[in-house]
Amino acid sequence: MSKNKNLIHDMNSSLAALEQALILLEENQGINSDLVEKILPLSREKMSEILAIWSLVKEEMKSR
Amino acid sequence: MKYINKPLTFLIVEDDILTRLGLVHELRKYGVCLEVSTQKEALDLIERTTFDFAFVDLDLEYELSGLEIVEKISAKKIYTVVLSGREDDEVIKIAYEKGCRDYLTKPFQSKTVSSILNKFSLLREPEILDNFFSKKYLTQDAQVIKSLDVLSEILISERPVLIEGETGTGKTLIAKLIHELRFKNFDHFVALNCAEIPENLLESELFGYEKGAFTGAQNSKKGKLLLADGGTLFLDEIATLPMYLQKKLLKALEEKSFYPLGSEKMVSSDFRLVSATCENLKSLIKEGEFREDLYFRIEGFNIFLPPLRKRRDDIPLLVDYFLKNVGIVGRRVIISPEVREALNNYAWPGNIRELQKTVQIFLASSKGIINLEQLPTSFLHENKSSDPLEQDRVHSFIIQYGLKAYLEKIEEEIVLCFVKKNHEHVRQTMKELKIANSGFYRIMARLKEKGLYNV
Repeated sequence: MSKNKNLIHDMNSSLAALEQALILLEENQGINSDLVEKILPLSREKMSEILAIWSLVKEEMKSR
Repeated sequence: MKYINKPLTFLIVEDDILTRLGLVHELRKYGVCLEVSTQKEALDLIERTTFDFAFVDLDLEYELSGLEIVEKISAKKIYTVVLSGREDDEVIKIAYEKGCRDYLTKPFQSKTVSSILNKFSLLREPEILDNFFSKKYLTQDAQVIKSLDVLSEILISERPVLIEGETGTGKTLIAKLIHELRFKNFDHFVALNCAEIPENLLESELFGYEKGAFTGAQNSKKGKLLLADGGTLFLDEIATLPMYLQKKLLKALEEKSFYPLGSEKMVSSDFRLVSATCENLKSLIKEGEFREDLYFRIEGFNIFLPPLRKRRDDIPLLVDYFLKNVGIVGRRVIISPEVREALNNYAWPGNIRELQKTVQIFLASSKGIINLEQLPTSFLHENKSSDPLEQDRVHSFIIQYGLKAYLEKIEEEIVLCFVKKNHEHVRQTMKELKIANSGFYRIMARLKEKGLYNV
């Protein structure tokens, strides 16, 4: 149960962080290229993180 | 940020680098940022250093681990904002109980961070607020000062504002002040007096229309609701809105979007609503003339501006202010003590607006000293039956100037009133008053001599 809760929490916070990245990109596109360049690789990393958590969630679901 | 004059030090406790990046990007305009990503680092830093403001993630290594940090920082009286993806009331309540001053839901937009900083800067320097309002809305009345106290909260909240008060009490001025403190100019201050617009035009004024929406709609036009997007919509005399528009306005306020007349495309608009009324809305609700659900939607913060007759201490204050600030620069006019007394005791049904107009009349007078002779008789008769002092004023006028002068004064006021009513049409005025040419022109000559009629 606790493991599930953690996965949900991690998934939520990673999704929120990715959405935060999109907001930052939207607000700074064409204005602040330095920031945009910093955000893009971090967003890719965050996406990988989300996919990893998603794999764990799927495993958890299968094992039920 | 209007009131952040010196650089601030921010502490950011957040384990997610993207969120930290977003915050640093926004905050470094106002100072320096100290960044940590664990509870331990945060607790160490709190012990070692000082800062002005903190953003703390609620869930660091484990759930709600940020609460301990919030508690430690708040104990140092440092302004703390919790960052969290959680939106359940129970967690938010706990965070506030631990001392946080604001709760920022992730992900956030830069304008939300700005509005939190705005709130912080205003709360940090309350004297700015005090000076701002005391300079622009003159009062020494405890009830009004208390009512205006909520303005500091109004500025840091998105809730609507309802201003109640008789005509002329300064409702429009307050609405403008609410806008002015938050925005730097009046670009997005959109005002509409619902009582001044014919009922058949109100809907199109509020919601706008598309070309061809109705006969005469040759071009499309934006409504006030859309024009106020990002700013303030001031709806004066909101009680006069017909029922069907009350319903439509309620829906637009709830959904922050609406259809302009004749349009199939919904438009969005987000604004601070400031409404004003001189009516008792609760009574109108009981009488079925105002929607209760709309009342609850517009009331948010309530400001009541009492009439001048209920705050007589403000009368001399305002008289002196208008004497100094209205009229020709450098021209001095002295008001006699008897006139001041009459002004203080007058009921002022038109409130501040009437007082300002009265002072303007004094200033336009050719006389440098304003005595009872220049005062309209309505001031002398005020509360005649209930207040013996008022009768004394009439008596003292008669004793000072004689009965003839008093009767002439009444005569002059009646003639002046009819002349104005008839738009300077002399023949019509004489006909209605049933007086001869010679009598009429004699009275007009006296009015001109006293500076009360200039045409």
